[in-house]
Amino acid sequence: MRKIRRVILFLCVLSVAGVSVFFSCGSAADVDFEISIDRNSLPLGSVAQLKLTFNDTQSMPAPQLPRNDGFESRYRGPSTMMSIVNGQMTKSVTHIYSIIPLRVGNYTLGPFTFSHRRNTYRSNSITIHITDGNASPQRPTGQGGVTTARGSAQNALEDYMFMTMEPTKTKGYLNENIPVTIKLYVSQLRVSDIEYPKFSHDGFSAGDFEKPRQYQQLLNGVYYEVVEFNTVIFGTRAGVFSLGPAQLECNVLMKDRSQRRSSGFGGFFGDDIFDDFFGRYERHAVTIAAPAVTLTVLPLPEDNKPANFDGTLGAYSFTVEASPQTVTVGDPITLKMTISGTGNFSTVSVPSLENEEGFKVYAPQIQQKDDAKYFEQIILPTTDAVTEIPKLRFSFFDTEKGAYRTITRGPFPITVHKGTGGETLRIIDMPESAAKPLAKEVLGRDIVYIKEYPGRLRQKGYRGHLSKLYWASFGMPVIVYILFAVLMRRQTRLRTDVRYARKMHAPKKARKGIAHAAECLRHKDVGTFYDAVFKTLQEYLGNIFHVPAGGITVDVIDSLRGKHSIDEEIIVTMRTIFEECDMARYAPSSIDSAKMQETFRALKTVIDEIERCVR
Amino acid sequence: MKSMRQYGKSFFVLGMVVAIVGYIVFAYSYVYADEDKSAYVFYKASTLYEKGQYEEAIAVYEQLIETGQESGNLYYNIANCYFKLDKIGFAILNYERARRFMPRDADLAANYAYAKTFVNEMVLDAEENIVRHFINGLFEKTSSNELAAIVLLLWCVFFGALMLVSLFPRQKKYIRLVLVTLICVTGLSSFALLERVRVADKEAIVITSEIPARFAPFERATTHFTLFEGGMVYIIQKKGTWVKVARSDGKIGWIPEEHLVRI
Repeated sequence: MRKIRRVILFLCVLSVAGVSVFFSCGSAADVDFEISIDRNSLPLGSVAQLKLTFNDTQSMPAPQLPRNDGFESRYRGPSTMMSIVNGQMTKSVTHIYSIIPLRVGNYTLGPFTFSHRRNTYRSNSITIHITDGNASPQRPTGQGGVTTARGSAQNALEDYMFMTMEPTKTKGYLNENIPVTIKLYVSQLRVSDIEYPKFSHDGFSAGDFEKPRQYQQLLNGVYYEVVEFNTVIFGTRAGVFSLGPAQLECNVLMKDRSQRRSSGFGGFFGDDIFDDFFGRYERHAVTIAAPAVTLTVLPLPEDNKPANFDGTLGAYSFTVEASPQTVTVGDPITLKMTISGTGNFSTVSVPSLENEEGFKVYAPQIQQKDDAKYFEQIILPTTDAVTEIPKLRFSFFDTEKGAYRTITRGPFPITVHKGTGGETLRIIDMPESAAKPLAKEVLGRDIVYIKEYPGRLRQKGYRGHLSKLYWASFGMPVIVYILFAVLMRRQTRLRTDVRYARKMHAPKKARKGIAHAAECLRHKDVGTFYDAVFKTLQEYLGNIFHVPAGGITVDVIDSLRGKHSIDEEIIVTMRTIFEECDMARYAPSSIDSAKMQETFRALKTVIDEIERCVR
Repeated sequence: MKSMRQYGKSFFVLGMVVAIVGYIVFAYSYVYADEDKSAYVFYKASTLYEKGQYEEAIAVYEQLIETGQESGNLYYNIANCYFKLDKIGFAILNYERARRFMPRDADLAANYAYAKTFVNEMVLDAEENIVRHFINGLFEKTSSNELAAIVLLLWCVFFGALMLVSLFPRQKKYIRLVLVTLICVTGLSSFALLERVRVADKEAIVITSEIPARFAPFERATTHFTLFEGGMVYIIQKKGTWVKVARSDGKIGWIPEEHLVRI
């Protein structure tokens, strides 16, 4: 009865579970799919919410919206709803997307078709009207229609924001500095987190950007906020190269009017004020690009190249001052050389004397400012035969004129007197290694050469530490240890528990005794045979029942009756064996080999039976 | 005396088990057949490298891989070829593969460090658990196979020490000290090995110069951060042709699987 009740209860529970599962799974025909938007008219620069709602289900994944040129979409997350009214349960899941309009126009969203678990769902369609943004308060009035830098009406997001990249020239010489200006124009948008632009400059070396400048600029009747980045590049090899395109990443802040916080004041103050006050904006990452520019790097001509030309480029002037002009042998004369102009000052090196005979020349001190480089060099006349400082030559390639130029200054007349008081000048040179300041060693950098041998090749993809055999082998020491522990325990017990030890060793000793008796039986040695039988049985019984072997007598055998489940028949057999052993001792001639065989069999039977009883 | 002989048998059995298992697990992975032919192919590829024919050298080196063989030197040379071809992503990928074989090789360490300077990524590593960082650092210069052998050996020594405690009860105090040390060292090395198992086949290198990692596995999803060529990521999940990856600073995003290669 109880069993029947249990079966009935189980069936009821199963039925209820089955019905709930059945009703919780909506069929495709029962699931509604509809799309909606919080407003149909959107200005550029704002964000709206698009909702894709699946009714009568809560387990629909977010569909991927098809691509549309008019706007960008971003998935915000799901929202589920369930309600029970008058016993009727309704549920739904709504996937919410942010819509960011990109250009003015009318666009139709849907109908969307979505497949899930072999079912297809189709939605309704909605129309969105994307309008132009609000007029900027800074825009001058009466200036004509609003146009962008491209001459068309502002009807796309990129018209509010664009970038240009302009080098000062599109042709330059090798190593010639070419300034590059990248400008970001922004109108009627809030922008933050502006990063430095990046541009590819294959064939050029580019310096770091200077600190960016920010200002306003009127362009085709529209005021733009301009962020200007300046840098300098120079060609590293001759050829025609493409500079850029340049890319700049920033965040555009867009007002999110869709989520209106419900304030307790409701319609009195309106939500717009609070929205503006608290600045509910969303950040959207955008990447602005400026188109690439083609630049030509011309090689320096080989014709008319001065012998002392060392790669200086630009347009320069060169002046020299030498003082004092009257010195004693060994007194220093300072040459102050100034090279000013425009160009790549990193290529400008100290002009050299036409010849240095009669002078000890030291390395100059160099100072550089924006448009000039200063060299201050000390020279010492070593003899009074010197009458002038030789000419100084400075050669460079004039990039404006496209020709080499050499500016020569000097010679500078000087008067050198001999030293007074018999003191002759001895210019002591320190050893080479100490005299010259240690120049900073420029180390090359490259990868180390390849290996010459393949090394130890192994099977591809094989990893020992992931193989099952490896992890299984951890069990082996455990098994060995367990066996060892069992063995140790047994040995300990055999050592400490005499009764147990005797009992364990009894069968082995009995087998030895039986083997000895069998040997005697083969030789038909009656006396030795019965001695062996007696001793074997006596020792066996003594070991098994933990009594001294010599104490095993017929009476002891009788006392085994009823103990250890030993049959009466075995007791009788044991008595018989002992009696036969006694008889053989005193009357061996009465024993024949058949009798001996019988006794031997009886011995084995007794031992086997007792083993079976006591184990 | 008799019992000592029996105990000696236990140790012998234990030692034989370790030796047999170790041989099967690790020696099996080595390829012994036709070493001369492999060396010839390797030499041929190296000659192409010397001539500056890096792409051809890579093709010949990869013939060895296609025959089911690999070694640290092989991946090192392939990485050098890719480096010369300015393919930093593939160069770092192969340097990482070579590091799994020979983590202590000085040439490899130098080239790897140099190649990393070309990775256009300034990412601070996430604050790793101090203990995990310390343990991984201890065994950084050990290959996975070496670490696995160490763990197995320590495990066997541990049980051997347990047997000694039973055999020499008077020396229990000292043997217990050894046991505690063994437990600590075995624990540390096991943790490091389990870390290697956890990340096996999940580490990958980005091979595209620049790829945005997004919040969701489709193109229209918002970009979370950018991954650059040569950067290492950890693959968490795969969905279709997209994979969810974690960067070293802990940031997680989705990228198409074609832009990375598993180490």
